[in-house]
Amino acid sequence: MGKTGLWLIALAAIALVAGPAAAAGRSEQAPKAGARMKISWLGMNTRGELLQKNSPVEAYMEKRFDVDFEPWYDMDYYQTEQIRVRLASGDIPDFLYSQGNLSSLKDLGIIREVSQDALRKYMPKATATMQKLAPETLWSRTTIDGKNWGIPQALSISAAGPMIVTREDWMTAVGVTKKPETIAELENLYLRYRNNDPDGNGKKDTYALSIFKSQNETIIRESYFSQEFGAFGVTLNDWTKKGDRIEYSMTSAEFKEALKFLAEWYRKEIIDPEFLMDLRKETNAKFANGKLGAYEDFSSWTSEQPGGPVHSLKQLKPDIKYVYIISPKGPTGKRGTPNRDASSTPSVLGKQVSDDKMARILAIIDTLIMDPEVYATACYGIKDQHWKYTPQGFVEVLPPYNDAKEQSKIGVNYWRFQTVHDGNEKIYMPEYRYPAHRFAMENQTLLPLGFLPTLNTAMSTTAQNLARLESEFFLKGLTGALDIDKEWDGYLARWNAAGGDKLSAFVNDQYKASLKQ
Amino acid sequence: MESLSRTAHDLVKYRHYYVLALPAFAVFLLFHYCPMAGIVMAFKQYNVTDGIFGSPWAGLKYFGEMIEAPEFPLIVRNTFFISLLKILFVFPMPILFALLLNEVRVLKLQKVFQTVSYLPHFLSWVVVAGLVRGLLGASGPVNQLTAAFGVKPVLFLTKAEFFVPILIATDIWKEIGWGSIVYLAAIAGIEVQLYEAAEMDGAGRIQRMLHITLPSILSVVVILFLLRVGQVMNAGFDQIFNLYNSMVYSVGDIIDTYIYRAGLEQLRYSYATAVGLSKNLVGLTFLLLTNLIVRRLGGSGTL
Amino acid sequence: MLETVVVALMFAFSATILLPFWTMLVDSFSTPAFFLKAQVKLWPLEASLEAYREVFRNEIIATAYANTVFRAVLGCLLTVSTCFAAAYTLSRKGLPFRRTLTALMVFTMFFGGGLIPTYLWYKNLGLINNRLVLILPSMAVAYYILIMRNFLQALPVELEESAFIDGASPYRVFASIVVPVSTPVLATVALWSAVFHWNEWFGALIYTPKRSLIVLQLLLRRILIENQASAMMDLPDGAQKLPEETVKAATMFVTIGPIILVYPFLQKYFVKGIMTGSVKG
Repeated sequence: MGKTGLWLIALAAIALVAGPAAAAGRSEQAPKAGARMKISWLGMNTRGELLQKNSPVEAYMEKRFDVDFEPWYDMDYYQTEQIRVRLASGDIPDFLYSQGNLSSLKDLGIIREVSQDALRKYMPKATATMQKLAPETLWSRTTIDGKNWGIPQALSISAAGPMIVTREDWMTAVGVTKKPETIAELENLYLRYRNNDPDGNGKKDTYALSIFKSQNETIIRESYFSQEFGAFGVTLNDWTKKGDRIEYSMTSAEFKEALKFLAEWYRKEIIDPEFLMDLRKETNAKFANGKLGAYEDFSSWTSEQPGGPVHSLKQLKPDIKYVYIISPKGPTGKRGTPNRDASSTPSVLGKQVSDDKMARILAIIDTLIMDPEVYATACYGIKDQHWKYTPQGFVEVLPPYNDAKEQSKIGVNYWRFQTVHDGNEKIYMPEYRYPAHRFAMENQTLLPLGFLPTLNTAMSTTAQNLARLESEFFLKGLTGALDIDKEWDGYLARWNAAGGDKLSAFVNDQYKASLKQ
Repeated sequence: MESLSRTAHDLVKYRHYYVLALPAFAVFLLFHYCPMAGIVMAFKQYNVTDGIFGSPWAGLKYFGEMIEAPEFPLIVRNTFFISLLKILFVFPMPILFALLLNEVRVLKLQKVFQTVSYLPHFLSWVVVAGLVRGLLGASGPVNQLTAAFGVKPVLFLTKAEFFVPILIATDIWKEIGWGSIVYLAAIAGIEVQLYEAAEMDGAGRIQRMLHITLPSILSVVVILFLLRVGQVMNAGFDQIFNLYNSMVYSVGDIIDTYIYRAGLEQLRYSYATAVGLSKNLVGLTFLLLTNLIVRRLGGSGTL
Repeated sequence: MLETVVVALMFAFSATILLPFWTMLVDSFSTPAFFLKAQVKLWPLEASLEAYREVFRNEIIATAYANTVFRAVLGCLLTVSTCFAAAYTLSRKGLPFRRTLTALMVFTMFFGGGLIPTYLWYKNLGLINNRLVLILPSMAVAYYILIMRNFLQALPVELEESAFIDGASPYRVFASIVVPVSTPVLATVALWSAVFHWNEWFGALIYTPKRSLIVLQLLLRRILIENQASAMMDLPDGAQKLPEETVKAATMFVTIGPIILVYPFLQKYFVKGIMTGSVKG
């Protein structure tokens, strides 16, 4: 019979079985009259644990909203591959929390359109609040070809930019009593950290400054040396508005000046040379151990948050005092902290969701976001059983419910939304984070908000490629591996050749169109 | 015809052997060949509603996208360069290790060395990368040593000229022990009399190693070599991903890291399938070519 | 002379491995504070079992161990027997269609359905959330079969000829002569297969997401949250405790401990001298 016969049989078998099976989609069944609506839900499980069945929070939610939730118990929100395989195979829940890649989801036929009108109609309070938080950018992440495909989110706390945290004992040890307010004063402090042996061990083994670089991250984030760039008026990764034109910040003349300045700092050994390679655990250890004097990151990580350098320091020196610095003034008088876009990753609804169900889901989300009691329950559990209010109005989680295992049993986080506004800020934020957050809010000078373009797939790919080019130039320039002045024009030429000019034109066109509205 | 009846006769003669091989080939058919039709996804614009077979055709669009990426020449060059260097330097090391280990007469010592040697295989590259960073960091032992000679600290992991050697060295360290197990197994199968006879003929230890041990395990070496060559398109994503950074893109960026970083794998299944298909085609071609060459050279143990 | 040099090299190499391993072991038995401040970590001056307690506090770890042992043992047995049988067949030089079968097999090393088609296919077969999905498809591995085949091809022909002349069936020869003589390669593939099943987590993640089917490596990866996106955003995880570095070290030993301890028992199969005096005259 031979090979050919075998092949034909195999192919026939495949076609017969796999074809119809792959083409089958989910069918939506109308609920029987009187029966509760069923909503399948993919929320955030507590990290490290999956949501368990029969949790008190699920019972609370079902009672509150009079629906039957069908959580995807077995799916781990943090294992994106696991979820996406299931989605791509046609198994789609009604609600998916905070998913990226909206245009891919749309192209794959997984999600349904959720019009702005529907959001305003069925989710009025939340939409209005979010619109206030992110007036210019709220819809950029969810609009594709003029239609809206997702449920946006916005965070008021995004307004708090990155800042510097440093140790008071070191400041005293090197003889600096006045908190630095300009870049020059900061440089003075940092030089002393490096050269004046602040930990008093007789060795020149201390560095002044490092930043946090996430694992295997190879693009530049806007928190990298943000204070120093801000002092030159630069926000990294930003489409900066210059009148009626948009210029990408990392190709601007100001960026070049700022980078040269930082390269000088690197040459003067202010910046820890291992900043490039270190991960959080290494930076934390250095800060705690007296190898590092200052650290720059977002307010949550400069607070006493577990997993951060200040927390590590406090474990070794419980009495330590630390000092915050933000928006120092630069040599040209500019100052600023990146103005972050308050909008965040949108959630989506499955393609099979009917208009009725959509209305119902949106109404539920409205309450989940805007009602403080429901919000707090979603985040922490049943009041007074799993958590309680502190006298200052923050939330204190009652042990053992700060443990992942217990959290998965009581069902927290699954119905939590990241949207933070005045009404739930104190509930969202752990108390230890508050001082850093307030410091930033009260003392920062924000740079103007850049333009947030909506990129299609081709432009996204170009942007990713450019990010690689930018990070290479950034790091090589900063560490002195290349001469910034000499290589600048070549870098711009390469940037344009790699699609930068097309991307720039694309963004400028969008901007001009948005000005007309 | 004669050959047809001879074939039928052979089929009957060898029927028991086919039965022995049946479970394996049933598994291949059911679990490898049956889903293989899905490869067609590389040529289609997949969407969930239409399924694999109902989705519209995209032709070679995704292959084109891959080739048109600006870094394409660089990542292909790096992939081959790193992979070929690994075949050249990393592949022989476990063989050498097995041969040398075999010369340790004290059996207990041999066992201890062997057990210790395969431990690193069980570490993830996340952990090993952390170790490497500690070793080669600005304040790490290597730089402390060179500082004693007045040399300024060198950030090895950020320098393009050191990156690939570091990849090679750490790969050897991690896999040499585990990789030697199969060769030790092959050596265990060599008849002791061969050694005894050679010793009586006056052959020294090194001569015995070169003329008895090595040739006896040659067919295993050959098959492992061929299989390794077939993997030429896999330069070691896990290792590189955990060790690389923007400073060494020019030598360290490979096909897999490019795909990962560009987020192109996420949800872009048709594209991912196209890339995977291309890589595998190249790998298979290399394998078949090398197989041909080795067979021409008269080697045993080819496919 | 050769031996001295070799032993010296081996000692040096072993030191490069034992030092970091020992340091990590010390980390797993240290308090987090000691981990931060210690410059030299050769002994846990502030010893504590809290890292291990943290790992074993998960009730589900017993399930994870059980599931993993199950798949390692059953998977290993099935894989070794299936592959070896096929390897024996493919080593017979006169086998009709030998080239074709070998080619079909090699083909599977390079081409497969891909993630989505495989998932859909397994779904159709009812294998999703079924224990067997982690064992059956990996029963036949072209890589193993090829290596075993080459081992068998190197065996002297006389070995079996005497049995065939005595009228034994291929099954008989296979079981009573070929298998005993092939213990080194059987042990090697058994080891490879067992380690594969012990460490494998991606298949379990995708094909058996049900909580009761969790495997060890997946559970521990989940705890370690090493590459999670939100770890780098500035949003805290509600009020959740993040795992300490000491816990990460303990996790590592909890996973690799058992499998490392298996090998010494298999080591005897790699000792020379199996084939002494098997065929004479």
